[in-house]
Formats: sequence, structure tokens, C-alpha cells
Amino acid sequence: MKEMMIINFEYFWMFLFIIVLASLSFLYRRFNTYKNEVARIYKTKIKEMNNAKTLLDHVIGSIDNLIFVKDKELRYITCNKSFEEFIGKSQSELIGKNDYTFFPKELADYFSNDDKAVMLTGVTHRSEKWISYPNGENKYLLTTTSPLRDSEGAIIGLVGNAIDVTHQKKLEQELTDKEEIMLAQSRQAAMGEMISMIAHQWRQPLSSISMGANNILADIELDILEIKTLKETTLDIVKQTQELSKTIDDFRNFFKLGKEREQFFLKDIFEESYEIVKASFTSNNIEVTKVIQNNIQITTYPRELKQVILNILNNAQEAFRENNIKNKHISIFIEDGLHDVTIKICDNAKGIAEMFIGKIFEPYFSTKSDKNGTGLGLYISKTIVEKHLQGSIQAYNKDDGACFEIKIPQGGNNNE
Amino acid sequence: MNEIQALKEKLQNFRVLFADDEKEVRDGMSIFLKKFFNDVVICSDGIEALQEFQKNNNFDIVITDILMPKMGGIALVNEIKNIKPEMIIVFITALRNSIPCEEQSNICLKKPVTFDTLINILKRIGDRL
Repeated sequence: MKEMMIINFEYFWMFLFIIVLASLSFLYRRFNTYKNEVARIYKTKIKEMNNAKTLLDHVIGSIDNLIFVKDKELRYITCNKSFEEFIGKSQSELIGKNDYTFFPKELADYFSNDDKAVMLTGVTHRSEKWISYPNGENKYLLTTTSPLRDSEGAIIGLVGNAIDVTHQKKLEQELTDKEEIMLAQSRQAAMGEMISMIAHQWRQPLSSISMGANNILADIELDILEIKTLKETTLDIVKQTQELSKTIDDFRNFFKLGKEREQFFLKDIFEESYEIVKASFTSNNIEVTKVIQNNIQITTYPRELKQVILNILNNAQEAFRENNIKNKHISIFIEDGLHDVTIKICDNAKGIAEMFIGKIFEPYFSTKSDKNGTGLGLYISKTIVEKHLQGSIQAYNKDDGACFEIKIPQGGNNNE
Repeated sequence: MNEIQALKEKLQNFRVLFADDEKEVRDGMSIFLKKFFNDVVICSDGIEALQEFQKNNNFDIVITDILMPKMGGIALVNEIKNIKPEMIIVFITALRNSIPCEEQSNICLKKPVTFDTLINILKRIGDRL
């Protein structure tokens, strides 16, 4: 019995030893496989990450806009190809340096101030500026600088993104230039109209003065001079000189430079414009009826409003002339609304053709047969009413003619 | 008697047709013309003047403005010359250009006229009549 147990006991230990050995080698093999697997996965991940980084680099590199990244000390961390072209240096030359190394002090200060503002406030900042490229070209850049945050949200630097909008800026400039030219042309046209009106208003007084004097001379030569006639004629001559002078005053007042908003009675403003054309209206037999609320006061730019009213009255006169109207009539309505006032000028000059009504406020458009006009009158009037007077202007046909309606806010305490 | 008084003697029996659309001009001119001519007919436009001419075309001189409503001076003169080609024509106008003057033996005056100019015109008319 004891013999068998000893033999069994020896076999037991041998058996145990073999099992352990087998287990160990099995485990070792498993471990190796696992290690290789991990290494393989690790390599794959590294490769993916490199691909991702390459992709990202390619994406950033393909972006046309300038892209740059700075650290908290405003030194460059990285940038894209467009930025390299802009600054005239390669990325490796940029890294670790700040703007003062590459740009003139004034420009570097400008960038630096923007950057510091972003770092301080943590808010994205936008700015626009004309900037010189190293090749001498000037470009207009729209730059957006944003704080760069880590996963905890702390600011670790900033990212900048700039777009070249030189083309758009140039178009803007061209448009402004064109508007200025149009404005100058319209001013010239307005002056031309004024001078015609002055000339027209002076003709009659000049006739009266000259014929009055000629008649006195004839009496003297023919020896039929009577003191009574002499006195009457001389008085009339003096009266006519007053007329000449009044015309000058009317036009001087009209052109008085008033770039400020003033408060006045709307009736007075209207009458001042009307004075300019009154004589012409009378001699052309244009009947005028006015329905004007007396006490309306408004705060606006008087000279500009007068210019618009005069433009409309002149156009009405032109229309009468063009269409050969027999009983010419113009009605004026000036009334008070809730927040604004309305000036309505209606004529019976046969109205505006339906196909033109939409166009009359366009620049360089005219229905007049006299090709000496600029076609700018109503366009300028519309611009003045909408942009300077904050109002609206419209035209429509009514009864036998056309109506022009101007609405302007009463001004005063409300706006601006 | 001075030369102007002599001029009046010469002209006073002739008949004048005058047209202008401006009241001040009509008033001033009619007073002046009536000092030299006994018979002066004043009109406000070409139509009126033509009607007066058709009523009695025994006028010797037509003095007219150019720009008038309804019918202007040039149209008026064309009508009159169709009927009486020897009529003496004087244009008085503020316009500076496009007046058929001198080449067609019409006399042209620019407003406002001076006394000397008026007297010279009267002399020329006197010479022609």
C-alpha cells in the first residue's frame, strides 16, 4: 500500500510539473499573440492618426483663406500655405516668432492689439484693413481672430482666418464714386435749372425798365415830355429793380447751406419753394389751389425738402408744356398724419404712361422730349427723401394727371 | 425840328401790327410805337395777329416776338408773306440764335432794346417805305 502511494505521489508531482509547464508555455504564447495584436493595433492607430493629420494639413493647405495659429504669447505655432505666401516666409521660419519680426511696427502694433483683445475678452474679433503683401500688392483683408481653447475651455492661443475681399472693396469704391458723380451731375443740373429760372424771371423786369426808359427818351426827343408821365415811368422802373433784387434773394435763400435739421412750419417751407416758380406759373396760366394745414411743424433739412418740392413743381410745368394742356391746374395738399406729414402735388397734365410709372425714379430715365435734362431729378429727389429726410415718395395717376406724394416723419424728439 | 421829330412826321401815317405774349413788353412797346405811328394794332400771339391781318391786311410793318403760344412769330410771318411778300418784318426777341434775319431782309432786334437801336430801326423802316 505504502509503495503504491509513494509511486503515485512521484507521478503526481511529475504530472503537476508537466501541467504547469504546459500552462506556462500556453500562457506565454497567448501573451505574445496579445502583444503582437496590441502592437499591430497601435501601428494602425498611429497610421490613422498620421493620415488624419495629413488630411487636416491638406484641408488647411487647400483653404484659400489665410489661416494662422498663435500661442498665448502671440508667437506663431502654425499657418497654412496662403499665409506663407502672404507673409513671404515659410512655416518653419514663422514658428516661435511674433509679428514684430515680420511686419513694420505700425502694422505689428495693429495685429498685436487685436490679438490681445481676443486673449483678454475670449471673444472672437473681426477687423478689416488694407494690407501690403511682400510683392507690393495691396489687398483688403477681412480677418476673424478667435481664441483657441483646450478641452477644459482654457485659452491656449488664438486662431486667425483672413479672407481677401479686395475685389468687393474695389466694387464698393466704384459704386461710391459713381454715386458721387451722379450727385455732382444732379447739382449741376439743379444749378442749370436755377439759372434758367432766374433768367426767365428777370426778362420781364428788364423789358419794363428798358421800355420805360426808352419812352422817356422818346418823349424828350419828340418834345412831348410830361412831368406826370415821367414820374409814373420812373417809379415803375424803380419797382422793377426791386423785382430783380427779389429774384436774387429768392435764389440765394434757396441755396443757403443748411446742413442741420431745423424746426419750422411746413407751410413756410412750401411757400419758399413755390415763390421760385410762382411768376412762371402765372405767365403760363397755371392755376394753383392749395389746401395746407397751417400749424404743421416739422424738424428736417429745409434746403433738401425745398429742392424736392421744386423738382416736382418744375416737372409739372414741363409736363404741361409737353402735352399742350388748355386749362392747367395744380393742387397742393399738405396735411398732418399720426407720425408723419404728407405733401401731395397733383396736376392735370395727362399723367404718366403706365409702362413708365415704375421707372420714373430711376437714374438717367426721362420722359421729357427736351434732351438737355439729365434724367436725374426724380432719382435725386427720391434719394434725398428716403436717405436724408427718412421719408417716402411715390407717384401715381389720378383723374386727368399725375400725383406726387411725399411722406416725411415729423421729426423732433423721436429719432436721431 | 430835330431828326427824330422828322422821323415821326415821315412814319405817322403807316400802319403797324405788333405781337408779343408778354404783357409788360406789349404795354411798353405800344406806348413807344404810338408816339411814331397813328395806327398800331397790339396782339398777344400769332393767331390773334393773323386774324387782325386777315380782317384788314393794309399793314405796312409787322413787329413780332418769336416765342409765343398758339402760333409763333416765324409761322406768323410765313403766313403773312404768302399774302403780302413786300411786308416789312421786324423780329424782337430774347433768343440769340436761329432767327431768319438779314438774309431774308428781315430786321432782328434783341431784347431788351436800346433807344438808339429803336431809332435806327425806325429810320431803316422809313427808308424802305
